[in-house]
Amino acid sequence: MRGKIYYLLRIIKIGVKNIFLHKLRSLLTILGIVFGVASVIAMLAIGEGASFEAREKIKELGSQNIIVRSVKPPETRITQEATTFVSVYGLLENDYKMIKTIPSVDLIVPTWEMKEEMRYMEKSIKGRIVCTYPEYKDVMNIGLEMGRFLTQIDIELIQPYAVIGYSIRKSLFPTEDPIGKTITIRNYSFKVIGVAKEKGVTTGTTGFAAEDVNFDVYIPFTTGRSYFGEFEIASKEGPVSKWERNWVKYHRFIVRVNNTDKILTTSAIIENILKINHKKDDYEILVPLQLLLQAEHTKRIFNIVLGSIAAISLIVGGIGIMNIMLATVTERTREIGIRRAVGAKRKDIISQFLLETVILSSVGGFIGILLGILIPKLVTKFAGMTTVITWWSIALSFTISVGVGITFGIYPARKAAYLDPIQALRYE
Amino acid sequence: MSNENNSIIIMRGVKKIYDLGEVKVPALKNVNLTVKEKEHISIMGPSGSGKTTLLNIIGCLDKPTEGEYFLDSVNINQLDDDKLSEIRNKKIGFVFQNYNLIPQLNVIENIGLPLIYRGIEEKEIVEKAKYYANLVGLGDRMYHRPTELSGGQQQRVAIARALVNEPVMLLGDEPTGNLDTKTGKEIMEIFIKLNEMGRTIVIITHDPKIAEYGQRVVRILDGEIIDER
Repeated sequence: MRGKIYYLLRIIKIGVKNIFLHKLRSLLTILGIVFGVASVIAMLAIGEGASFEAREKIKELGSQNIIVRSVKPPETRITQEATTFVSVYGLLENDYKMIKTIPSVDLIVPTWEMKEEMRYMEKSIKGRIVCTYPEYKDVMNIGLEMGRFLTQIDIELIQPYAVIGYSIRKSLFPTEDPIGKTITIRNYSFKVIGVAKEKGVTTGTTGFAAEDVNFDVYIPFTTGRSYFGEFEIASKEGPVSKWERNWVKYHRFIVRVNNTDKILTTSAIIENILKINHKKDDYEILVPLQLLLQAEHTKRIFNIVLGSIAAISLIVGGIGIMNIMLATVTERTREIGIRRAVGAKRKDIISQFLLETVILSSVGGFIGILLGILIPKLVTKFAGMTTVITWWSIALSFTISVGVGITFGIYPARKAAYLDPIQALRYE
Repeated sequence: MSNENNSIIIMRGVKKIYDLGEVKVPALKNVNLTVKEKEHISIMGPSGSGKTTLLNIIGCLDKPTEGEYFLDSVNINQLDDDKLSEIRNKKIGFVFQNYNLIPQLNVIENIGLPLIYRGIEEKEIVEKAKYYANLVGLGDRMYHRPTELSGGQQQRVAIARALVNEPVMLLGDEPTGNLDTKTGKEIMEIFIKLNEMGRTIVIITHDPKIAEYGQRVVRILDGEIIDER
């Protein structure tokens, strides 16, 4: 047993020595493996990153939720001079009532929203005012950093209270305790009663628009309605600066379904209700779960395509190694003859050459792993995509590169072992 | 049979026929040869006489087509490739005309080569290799590469390598063929010394002067032993 270990160490030493003897050749030989392994790790990291992002987004939107959103329909009838025209669109009271009657609907939380500037002392920041109900906290998984969220009593008493997002707090109250302070929105005063925990910002790569909920301010729905009404006044982009006025009853319904299995059927029912109630295409239904399934499906296709490319490059890399090992066998014919003459068995020759191939491919695999870790980092840095390097992708690709070494090393090693020692000794 | 008890080589009716498809070339026709322990014999013959074939068979690199060959009481005819390798590793020490050293390895590593196939500990291999390097007078060249050595020195390395596994027989294939007369003489003196120390030595050559060093000269021609004295 000890003898075997010494013998193994010995042939590893010889193998490493031979590889370093031809540095450039060895490097070129393993290049295919390097790129193959690097691409396996990188593509898995990118695919994994995409699905990770989708999962994060689902977590944020809630996998049991269906989000119904008001969408401004294309402005076909609005002309340049019609500056006073009010566009009326979006979700209505009737929609709310009807969706609420669906048996599988657990909860429906409406919101009314506007983009507005808020002030505290001389500091100001633009954010999104979300007029909503206490249940919004639960359906949207909002955590609290300090203070409390809105309550049913706040709604009933039409309290001028506000729960501010993490980034709003950072800008308006960088050093102070915000609880109990008063912020101003359109000349109305609001008392800060809570601060929401920071939430990850999702980029728009998985079918969702990028949004940063850390700039949200939550106020009681009733308070919003009594202060701001149902009109949304926003400055309109264009050659001439003008105001656009929208009349929107509700901006969003967050619908929570009591069973994940019923999400798709529930969303179909909602779709039918809205189709009947609305003549215009002024709503949108988002099903986070469905988007997750889509993202997973896309990821699978992505993995198959890139997986095949990686597999091809590993095979090409393996052939490259085999080619060089065959050349090495020819080049070292005399050495093989000498070793056989002094007593090396066929299996000794096989293990020597096989080990050399495996060392080569393992070194290639190792460099490939380093490169495979680097590439996703660069992708994240320059393309802004989320990437997740999994330990099993590293283990897998390293195993594959060792496997390639063994597979493509067997033929040259056998060829070396079955040389006639007499001929090999006289080979010039 | 009593005179065969201390024989290293016993060959009876050994034939070697090379089958080249259409023609069969007989390289050895009928060889009977006995080499006793501690003997120093020379096998002499011109090129094409079959002496290389005989060497390959004696050295267990090849097996006879017909006839029997016992090396140190082991019947070679019945052995497979692995067993033949083991025999070469334990019982034979080769010394070739062109030295046949591995250029990537230094003197110590070349000398120790046969031992690595026995799974001996590195330290022990180095120790033995050093002992034999000193024995052939290369104590100051132990970490040189073969290319940094003269022909005579390279052949000394080869002799040390042949000795390191303590074989029953040293087998020289024109060991002085690539050397000048003076160096060749030095190498032959090493063989004589080794023989005096009790080694069995078989040397194959076409050079009568080299053959004269042997206690017995066997002449071979056209695959047959024609003279033995």
